[in-house]
Amino acid sequence: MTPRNDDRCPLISRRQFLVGLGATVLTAACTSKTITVFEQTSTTSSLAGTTSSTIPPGTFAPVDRTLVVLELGGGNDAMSMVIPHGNSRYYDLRPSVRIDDPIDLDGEIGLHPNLGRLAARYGAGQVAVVEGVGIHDPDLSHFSSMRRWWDGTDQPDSTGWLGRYLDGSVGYEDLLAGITVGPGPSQAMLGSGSFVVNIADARGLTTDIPWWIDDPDELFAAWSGFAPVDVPLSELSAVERAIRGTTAARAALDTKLSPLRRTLEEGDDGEGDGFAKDLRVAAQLVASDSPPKVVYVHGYGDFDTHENQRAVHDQMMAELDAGIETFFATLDAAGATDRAVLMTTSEFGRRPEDNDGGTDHGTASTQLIVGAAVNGGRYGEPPSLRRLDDDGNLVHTVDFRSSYATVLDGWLEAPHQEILRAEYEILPVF
Amino acid sequence: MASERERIAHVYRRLGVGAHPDLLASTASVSEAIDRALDLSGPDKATQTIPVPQSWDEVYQVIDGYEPVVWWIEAMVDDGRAIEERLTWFWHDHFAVSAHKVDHPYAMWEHVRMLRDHATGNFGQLLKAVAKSPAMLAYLDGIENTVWGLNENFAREVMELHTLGVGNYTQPDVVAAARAFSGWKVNETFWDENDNEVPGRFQRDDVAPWGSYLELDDFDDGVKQLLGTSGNLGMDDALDVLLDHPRTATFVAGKLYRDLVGVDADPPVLERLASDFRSDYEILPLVEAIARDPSFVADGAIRSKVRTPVEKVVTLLQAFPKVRDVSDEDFGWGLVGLLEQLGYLPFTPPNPAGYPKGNRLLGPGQLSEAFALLNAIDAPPDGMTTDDVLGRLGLVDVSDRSRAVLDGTRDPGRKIALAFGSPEYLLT
Repeated sequence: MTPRNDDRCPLISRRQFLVGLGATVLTAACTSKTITVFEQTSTTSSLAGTTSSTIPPGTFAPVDRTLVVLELGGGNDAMSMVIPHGNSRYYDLRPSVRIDDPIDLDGEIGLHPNLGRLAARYGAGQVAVVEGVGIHDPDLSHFSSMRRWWDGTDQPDSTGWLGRYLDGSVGYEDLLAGITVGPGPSQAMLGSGSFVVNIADARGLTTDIPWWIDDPDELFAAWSGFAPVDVPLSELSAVERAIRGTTAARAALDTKLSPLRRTLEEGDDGEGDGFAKDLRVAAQLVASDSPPKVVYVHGYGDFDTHENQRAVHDQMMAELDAGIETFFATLDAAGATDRAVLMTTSEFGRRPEDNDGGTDHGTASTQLIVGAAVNGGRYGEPPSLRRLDDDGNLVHTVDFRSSYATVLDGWLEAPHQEILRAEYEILPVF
Repeated sequence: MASERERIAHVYRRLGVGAHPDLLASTASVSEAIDRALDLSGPDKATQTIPVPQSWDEVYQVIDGYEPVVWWIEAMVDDGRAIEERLTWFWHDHFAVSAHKVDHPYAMWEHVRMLRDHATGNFGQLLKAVAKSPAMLAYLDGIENTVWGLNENFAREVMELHTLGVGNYTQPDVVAAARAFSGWKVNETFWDENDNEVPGRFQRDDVAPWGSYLELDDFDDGVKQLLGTSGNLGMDDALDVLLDHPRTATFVAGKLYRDLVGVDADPPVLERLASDFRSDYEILPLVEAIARDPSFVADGAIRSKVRTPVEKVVTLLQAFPKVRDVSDEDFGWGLVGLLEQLGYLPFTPPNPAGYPKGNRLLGPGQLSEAFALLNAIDAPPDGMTTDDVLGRLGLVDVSDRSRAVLDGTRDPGRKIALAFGSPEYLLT
């Protein structure tokens, strides 16, 4: 994976452009959305339709709440986010990347100095810090680790954990129940009997079509003919279902996002790019009428800090702080604070011992669960910094599915056993 | 059951980047299509070189722009040496490096030129060239990997993504490989604000600018134990260990089969392909063996893949060549912007595993955003019938429903846009 050295994007961003083709003017998106979904399996199987194991809609009673998942791609160095500054071993392990000025929480741990606003929320009792979260038999691979986090099952699965929640709650009834913000849909959101809409930004599903198409709405109306509404979904192929869902979701999503687009067009770009930009879109969706059940924000792979860690990770912590603050401030302004809980994920933490400037792939990590409904405080158990595994990595103390079970049961009120296909301990976060 | 002409189009779509309408119109059979797609006798496109930049101006104003992207897309649009285009892209995806991190257009250009040189050649030589490629050394932190501080990034990814596949090595193997790969540098060249050359971190007079070299002082010359082989292994030795491992041929042949055919190979087929591949690692014979296997043009293979944004735009430009009076710069930046929006800009795969594939490309966001790619073509030709549009886009077997949708409009532009959005075009 690739930490970004700086915020330059060599191929495109150094130019002031874009003069698009025809009348189109595109903005140069140097989003550096570096992690996207990965697929090793054959496309034939992935193009297949509903499977017999699909959880039928209505299995879980719908709730008027939203779970927002923020994926910190690349393997977040949790030891630099929630710093065990009270442990002298930390300083021995981290000669080159240690953080000397954390924001102390309780004498044992502290938050990265760039997480000031998150620390204030912690003080207000709205942040659950879950320590020691990991997967059993970790292989330190980005891709198989992500796959396990997305699937939420022990065996590789064609569906993701949140996709199965959407299957069993709304099914195809609510096309805007699951939305990903970032580059493409996340595997975590793919179900076998539900729909997931992915958007890159506040433009939603609008697009820059060429000048020689006179009416975009008419084009999209004609396009929907490839998947006519009088044909049952079960008789449509995966491609036709995608066309059906896209045309159906397009207008509704446009209505939800148009207030934010207007704000942006007026020049108020909030805290700019990165998490803040995407979490503002997420908050706008949550604050709208009939909010989605799940929003998944992903595409930030800069956490893979093999080298130059302090510069890169410090910046990512500042963006994380800005993002979480933007999210809740937007909800506050809309009077929708109680509607959402935000949870971070990352495929693994990083090696406790640094590599002279960076850190290599590790295991156990720390998750944050933030929201007014959360019982703030520490959960799980911090892994030992002395009793490491054979590879010099932390031994995890909490299965990552416990976090999933916690938000499924505690926030979405969906019993986790069917979704995760096993029983896990629920943390008293809610 | 697919028609013969659909199968011919399928051969060109899979052994090239798109089914060029001129090729399609002049091909009589599947076997002829395979022959022509694999034909490397046409003009060599790999001769294109760019000079080593001598100033920031040359880096950022001449080379660091749309030209490399446009050059590459136009090479794909050209109907010659289809398999070379297919495989150059395949290796760019397999040995992904991104300009977002490498941050030097010359190194990126040379990396892809090297991929093209080896694309249809020998996998072992390709692997060794990739490992020493300045772009790869920068992208997966090889230049940070020294005996004084190992960096495991390339060692892990070369085994997981390029050769063995995950689960076929241990963490001690990763450390051993990282030690064997240690000490490699890139002779970077930089300039100050007055364009005076300033020494890079690893500058060496006896190495070409932006060439790579081994700095023995930073190499770990101890004994390493890698996948059962022990010795004072260096980079090529360690790569030879990976090439000797039976999983490598299976992994690479299986991935290439999946790319070309669209489905997983049956185990006996894969075993035969991998066994032959492992004997000499010659790439073109492997491709030919896959293409001549009956499964390649079986109904299960036809339209079993999701068409990528690059395949979409290349096919559009093949169908409707650029004739409008638009400056190269406008066209170039427009193309870069469109592909960037769709996450498929050449030279910038999102991560070391390459570009997204399969049903990840079928999200509503990508489907609606993809209509912007229509900006790459000129105003639609007048008087196009439904059959004209389908023919230009290489769509042969089309459902009655799709045909009815296209027949529902008389406007050629809308016909093209709808064909572009049809279920038939979304797949390949």
